[in-house]
Amino acid sequence: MDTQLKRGLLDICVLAAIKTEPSYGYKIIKDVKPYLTISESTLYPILRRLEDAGSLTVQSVEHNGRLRKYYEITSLGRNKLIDFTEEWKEIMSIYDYVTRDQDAPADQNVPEAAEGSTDEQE
Amino acid sequence: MNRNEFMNEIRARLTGLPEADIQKTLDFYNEALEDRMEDGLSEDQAVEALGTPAEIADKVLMETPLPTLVKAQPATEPKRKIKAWEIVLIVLGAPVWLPIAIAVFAVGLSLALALIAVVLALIFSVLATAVCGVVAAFGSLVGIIMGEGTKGLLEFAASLLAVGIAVLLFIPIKAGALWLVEMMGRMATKIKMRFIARRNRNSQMTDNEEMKNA
Repeated sequence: MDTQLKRGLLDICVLAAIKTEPSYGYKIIKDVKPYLTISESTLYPILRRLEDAGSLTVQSVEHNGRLRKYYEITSLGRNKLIDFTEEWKEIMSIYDYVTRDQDAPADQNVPEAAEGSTDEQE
Repeated sequence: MNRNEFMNEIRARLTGLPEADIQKTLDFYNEALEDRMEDGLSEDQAVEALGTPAEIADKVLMETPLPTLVKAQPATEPKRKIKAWEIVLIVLGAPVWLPIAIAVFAVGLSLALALIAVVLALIFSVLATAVCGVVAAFGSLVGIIMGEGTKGLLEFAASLLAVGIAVLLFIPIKAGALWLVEMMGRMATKIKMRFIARRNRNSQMTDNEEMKNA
């Protein structure tokens, strides 16, 4: 995937991973991995950037006698997710346009062909 | 590589950054190791899974603001003793290389400033044209009402023309300004990459010297 695109998508995926409940680093990685390759070394700068931008907050919670950092989404972070879905509606309509062109070069012939087949049945 | 070696190498590669940043990074990777080990991995496997300290440190450095990175630089310079003849050469050569260095720096800086100034000047002249056009339009309307007739009408047309030109010019100028901002961002990234590459070279040199001494 295009690196510039992936960079933006990673931010969104990290926000999506914490949108229902606060989560911690290793869990975020496990949750996002099925969709995008992500490792600690990529996650760490993203978390810091999102924290600096005010998209998430960090709390240290005790777990098994040590501290674990939990990341919680803010309203600003939620807005980013909403913006993303809005933007992708536009991109999906472009996707539809692009793939329709590939699958059926003569787009206008499709309904005609269907009509033709019904004529044969008649 | 065990956990301590891993942590120490990351710390060494981040030398010079603010201590709070280093500690935050180490805490994060410590937590990552603990979580993986809790998940059933051995210490070595967990370290392996996180990637090499070099990768980790480079990514942290890339996200560090340029001024912090520049400040962090001297701490990693190898403590190489400068030989006597090198000092003599540097001092004697000063009349030659010092002005050249200053000149190169000044030319670079002035080119960048000139580019910014041109874009700013264009933006302001377009804004000024637009404002003048609007003001003149109202002025000439008053003139027409006062009975200046054809002259007022001509002025009114000219002011509308000015507003139109300003609106049209605004589009390429906005694109130009955005391009400039993007180029400056890219420059900063390139400079950062050079700094990081130099840091890594320096730390390798010190590593080699330590091995020789050992």
